[in-house]
Amino acid sequence: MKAHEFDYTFSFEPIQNQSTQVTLFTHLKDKRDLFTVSINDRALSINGLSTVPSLSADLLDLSIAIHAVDRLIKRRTETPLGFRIELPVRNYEVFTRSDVYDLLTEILEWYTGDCWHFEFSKREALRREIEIQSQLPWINLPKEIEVALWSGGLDSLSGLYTQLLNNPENHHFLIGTGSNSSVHKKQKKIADLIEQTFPNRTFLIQVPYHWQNTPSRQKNFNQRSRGLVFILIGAASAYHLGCHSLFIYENGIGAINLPYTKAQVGLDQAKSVHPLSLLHVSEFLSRVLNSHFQVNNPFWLWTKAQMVESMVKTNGYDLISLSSSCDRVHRLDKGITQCGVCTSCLLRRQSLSALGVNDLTDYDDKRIDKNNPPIRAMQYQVNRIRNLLLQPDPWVSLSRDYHELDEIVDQISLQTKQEAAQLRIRIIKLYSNYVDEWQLFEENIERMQQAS
Amino acid sequence: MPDADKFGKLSRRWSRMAKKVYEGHFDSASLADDAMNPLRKDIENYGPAVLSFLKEASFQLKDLQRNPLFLRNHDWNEEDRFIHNLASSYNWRYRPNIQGMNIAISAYKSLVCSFRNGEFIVKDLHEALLHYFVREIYDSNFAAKVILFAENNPDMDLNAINQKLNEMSIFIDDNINAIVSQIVRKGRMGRARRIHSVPPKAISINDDVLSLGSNK
Repeated sequence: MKAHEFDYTFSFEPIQNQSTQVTLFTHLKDKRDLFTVSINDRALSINGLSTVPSLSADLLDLSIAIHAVDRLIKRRTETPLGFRIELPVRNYEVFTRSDVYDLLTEILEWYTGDCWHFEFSKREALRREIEIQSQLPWINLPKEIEVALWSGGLDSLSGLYTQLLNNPENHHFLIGTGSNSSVHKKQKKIADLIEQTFPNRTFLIQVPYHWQNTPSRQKNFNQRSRGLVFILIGAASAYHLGCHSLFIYENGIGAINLPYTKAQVGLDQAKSVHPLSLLHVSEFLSRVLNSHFQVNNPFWLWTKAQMVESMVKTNGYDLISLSSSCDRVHRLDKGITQCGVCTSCLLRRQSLSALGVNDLTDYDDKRIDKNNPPIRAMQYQVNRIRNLLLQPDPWVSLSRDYHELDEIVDQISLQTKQEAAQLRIRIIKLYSNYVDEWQLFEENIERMQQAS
Repeated sequence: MPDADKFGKLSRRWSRMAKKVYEGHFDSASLADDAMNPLRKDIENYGPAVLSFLKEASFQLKDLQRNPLFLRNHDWNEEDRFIHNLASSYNWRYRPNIQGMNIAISAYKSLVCSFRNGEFIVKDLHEALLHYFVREIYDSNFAAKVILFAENNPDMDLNAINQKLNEMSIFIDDNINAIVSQIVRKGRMGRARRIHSVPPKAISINDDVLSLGSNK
């Protein structure tokens, strides 16, 4: 593809902690805009850790560039967009290697459906602060470290809580990121409370980034690369901490994210932490870092209710209402930030309902109207899965309707050498548990409606 | 979160059809005929690149059709890799309609799934793939949404709608065969025309209203 055939070109100056200039060319309109990005990765250099490896710094830059592109483009057409990104990197020879480059663009296409082209150049600019601090190894660095993404959502909270209970020797570095300061505050607040419950076992590292003076055009709210961006930031941090794995805590129903109805095709369903996404990104990171790196979701065969159960059974119940799950971008009055009716809020409500606990979360809408499209779609999917599970061969029935399940089993068994038959049984069990939990949720909805 | 799942709405061209289904008194064969016009327009809208993609994809399946005895040991990852690589090359070369491509990929996977589950596909693979494709367009753009958006009419009987869709299904498949033949013959979707048209029947005072909505 030639330069003029791209829809947008983003030309990045070497990304710094302070505002870094980006030139955005919108080729169709022959328009040129300037805006700035900045990353605050100083948290990675606290506590006397050594300087950040150049590969980590490059991964951070790459993630910011990807997010800026996905956020600032205007998606009008029904066809894939073409992006050209000029980005200076420290490890030019790594990122221009064909195996690394091809995997990167394939992964981006998998996440966004668009065509991505990078023009990497050798970064000559001054290094960022985290790269030049003197080496002061952390003397008391714990032996058993787990580095995990930290969103402030219920899955990351309950996953962490379960891991802390199940692995008493482990210490957890939590990587929070994003460009929203209210989310950063929430991440910190919940991390502080976890620290009180499990003293000296968790450490929050926040790597926020920001944009300034962005073009006033409408932003793209359908940012399908978001999951990848967070994983790259988490992986860069994990590598800096000497770990070769990054943990993500997400329930299996949300991670696999089967389409609710046949009306949803392709990227109508996000693939943020889909098991195949994690496999692809793990392979990419292993190539970049030239050593095995795994992005691992230990809960991909658990329902959300199963994840939250340990919090309910012990002393974690009060933390639940502080976490967020909502899909919608809104700021509501009186500090209420969760709508209560999107699919993510409904899955949260379903999980708590299935556990038989009182949901103390402040939702904008506490009612559940069974005629709203999100619950109708979820209900439709549950009924469909329930019916498929009752067939003589549940796997054949399930995978005929949801082809991605076969793909998941094929690729995971190929790459991890797990038995395909065992994986199928575990996936069937996941969905059996889910539909059983829905039954309890439905009964609760009926009771609520009768009571009102 | 900005990466929320999306629920597409019924397009304008399908809304009229949906209204007829909701009204409940049109017979299934005539509804299936009515569906052909929006279906053809959807295919046209997806563009020739998607049809050419399906044709190219169908060549890959020939080995599966020729060697059914070896399917037990087949590397199914190969099929996934193939279709995603082919889709990627089409994205770069033609920038095809995203939804059309996604439905085409899904149709390919449905056909692969049929092979995988031991079904014998005897007909021409290009035609078989096109049939899956057109049927998935109908299911995705209409049938699935009719149910999802039925809440616009609070008096709607979902069971009756489901039953109507089921009754229509066989007529839809028959009509799809005609569309597929046309695409294979011409290599593209022709002008939107009715395949055969049953004139809408006016209800008179002498009609047996209980028989309305039956297939006869």
